[in-house]
Amino acid sequence: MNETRRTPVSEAHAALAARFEAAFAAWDADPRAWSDDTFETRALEAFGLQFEANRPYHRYCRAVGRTPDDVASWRDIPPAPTAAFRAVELIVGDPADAELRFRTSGTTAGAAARGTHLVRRSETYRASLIGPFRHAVLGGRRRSRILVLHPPFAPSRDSSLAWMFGTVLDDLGAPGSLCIEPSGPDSGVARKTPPGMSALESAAGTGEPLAILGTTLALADWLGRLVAAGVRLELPEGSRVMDTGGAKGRDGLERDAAIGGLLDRLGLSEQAAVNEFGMTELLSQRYGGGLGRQALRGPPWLRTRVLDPVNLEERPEGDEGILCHYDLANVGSVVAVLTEDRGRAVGDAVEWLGRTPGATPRGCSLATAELLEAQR
Amino acid sequence: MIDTDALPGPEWLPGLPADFDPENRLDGTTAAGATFWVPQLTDAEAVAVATAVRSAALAARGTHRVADVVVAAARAAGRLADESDPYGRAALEALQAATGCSRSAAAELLDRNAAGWTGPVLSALIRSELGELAVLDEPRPDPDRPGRRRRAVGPPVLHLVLAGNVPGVAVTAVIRALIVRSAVLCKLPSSEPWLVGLFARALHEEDPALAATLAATWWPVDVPGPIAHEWIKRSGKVVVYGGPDAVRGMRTRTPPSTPLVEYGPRAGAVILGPEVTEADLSGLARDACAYDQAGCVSPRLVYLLGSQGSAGSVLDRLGMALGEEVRRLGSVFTTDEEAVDIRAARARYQFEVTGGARAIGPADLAWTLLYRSRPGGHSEPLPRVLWVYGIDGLEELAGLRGVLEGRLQSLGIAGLPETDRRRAEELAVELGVSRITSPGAMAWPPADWRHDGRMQLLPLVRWTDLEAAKQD
Repeated sequence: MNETRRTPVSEAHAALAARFEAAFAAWDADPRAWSDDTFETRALEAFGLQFEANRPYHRYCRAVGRTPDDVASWRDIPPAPTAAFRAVELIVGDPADAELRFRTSGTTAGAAARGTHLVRRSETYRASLIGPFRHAVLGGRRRSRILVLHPPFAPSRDSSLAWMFGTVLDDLGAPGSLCIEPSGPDSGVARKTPPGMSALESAAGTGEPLAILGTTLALADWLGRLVAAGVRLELPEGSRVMDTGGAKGRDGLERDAAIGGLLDRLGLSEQAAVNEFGMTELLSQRYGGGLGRQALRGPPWLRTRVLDPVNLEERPEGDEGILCHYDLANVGSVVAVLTEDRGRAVGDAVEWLGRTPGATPRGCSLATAELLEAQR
Repeated sequence: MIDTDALPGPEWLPGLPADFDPENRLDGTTAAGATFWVPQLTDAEAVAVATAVRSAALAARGTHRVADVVVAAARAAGRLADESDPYGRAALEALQAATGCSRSAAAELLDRNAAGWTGPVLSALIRSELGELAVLDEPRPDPDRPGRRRRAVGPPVLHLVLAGNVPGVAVTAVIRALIVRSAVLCKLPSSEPWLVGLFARALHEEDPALAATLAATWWPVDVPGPIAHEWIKRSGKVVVYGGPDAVRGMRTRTPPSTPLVEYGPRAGAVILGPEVTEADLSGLARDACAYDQAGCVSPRLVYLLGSQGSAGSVLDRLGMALGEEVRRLGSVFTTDEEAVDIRAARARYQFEVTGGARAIGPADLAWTLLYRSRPGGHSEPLPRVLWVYGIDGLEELAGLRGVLEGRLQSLGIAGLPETDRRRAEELAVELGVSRITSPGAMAWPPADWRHDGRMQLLPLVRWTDLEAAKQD
């Protein structure tokens, strides 16, 4: 970790991140797959920097016996478990240099165990976001009317999703785009009018496609408002409904019913549905089309392996395992992230099958929760 | 891969017609993912079974003395640990299929359990708690109440809700219920559903009349159905082993007038002093691997006393002992969910900046040591994971009273000077520990230990005092 005779961390990171951002932008203009060598080279470069300059990750790599000298393939890069984001701030260099600070929702471990992802350069996130979103959601258009049903980003809210929606709106939103907090003061709750009605009616009237973005929960609630208000209209061809997050534990909510109902109400076919898969711990996203089980595809700088949870060996295509992502947009934190998500590989895509539930304590061994409760 | 279809069904249901052909079946999955099924009984069939075993048990009180019960039960149970016996071979297969353990580990589990199933051990248990065997057969002079006699007997029907995390203990529980002369209706555990049924079949060969006093089957804990209702309704006492969900569920389902005996969840702890030996550490490794840390006797919490300078050495030595034990027992089984939890726990320690945290263990998760240099009480029941804390003095454990009190089953002590040992014992009593022992003996308590601080047979019986008739 002797940095005195080397390029300062900030410069090394900035140089690498800028190259990656340029590569992401180049893909946006010409979306072709990367060769294995290209991904390999870039991944190993990122790992080398992170091993040198991400202190907690450096200690971890040492503890598991991996250094750049014995990591010859991107597959050998030691992944940081998502639990690490709950224990420590993972960033290349000084945490004070982070431009963005996102926190996980605590879906799995509860609010008390929320994780943090520090983003050293917001531009890297933006560059990794825009191209894939444009191609997956907007059909490649440079601008589109966008309706976001989500609270706007604020640093205090530390939501990576809100930042993503805000950036998409700023960079890709055509005039008439707007962001509405579904239950906020502008939502029309008091007027019993569904939020976003003006955007819907304007799109239907002008014939310009509209992309509607929100969490699965928010869109399900919005559907309820539309139904209650008797709204039914025909959105122009090319319009999309993009949801993310899934049911998040809400009993009785099924994505297909909620999004399918919304498509029907807005006069859109199943092909207009887009499902986004993202995690606070990753700056890149995967997208799937339609309803039902999603084959999620991502940009070439995001690769995912399906691993046996016990020995971390790669499982054959089609077999279920836990997902391990290698996201070059995470050049400022950790590229390799081992999740607690179950999934399987389907060709060049990944199916997400849900979170791994916590292990059920067997028999008369004392349950963890009870000890934890006692400690509080 | 064990073919579970080749094993007899887990159920043992006397009282059903010989040509009983269930319309429906209940499918279950064991701890290691093996599948099994049992017939789904109708209300009438559940009642028929309960009625039949009750009648058989009452009849057996007239035809069998408790000494006969002990002999027959010991013979039948002993066959489960005899590899030359068909039931012994089936028990080996069943344990491997149910728990995912190796053949050698299964054989050791059966051998160790069988040590508590012998006639002399069972007779000694009866004498230690009830004074003599014959008191379960007839009124006997009460040694503490001159002129009086006494008789002990269990309720006509006992309902046992069994746990499978410590394989073999279910059979032990059934034998105790038979000893107090009750009919026994068992709810089998999905994690290890077969051993009790194998015991019942072996008992049927040894003593059919006694086997007719026992019934056992399984149903999903969250869908108890009519059989649970009918069996609980007909039981004079309910005994539940298991985790908090099982215990809470039985509290809800058992009528207030029916006594409920609970053996609920606990954890084991160990205090290692500066004089800890390799034998102590090997013993601790054996205890930790015996039930993959799933038992209430398993040593999940480890306190290193006065080891600030030497913790690394103790951890390394303990790690070596665990590695050796895993090699000795053969393959180990971890579910996907457990693997994810172990990796998450390791990550929390590996990335922790403060607290001198360390996570040690092989990449295949065969064992894990999670160490913090400061006192703590957090632990999770994950396979072969030990939560190790450094303490400067025993009084720091007293400071964890809020976490530990009433939650510890066994405490192992090793390597402490005599004065510290005495203080540790006092502290354990204050914390409600039910057994103080040494590493290496934690996983295998003696047959007459006071599980959860209670006797084994006494909670099952009711005493009748018989006073001498007045002479006019």
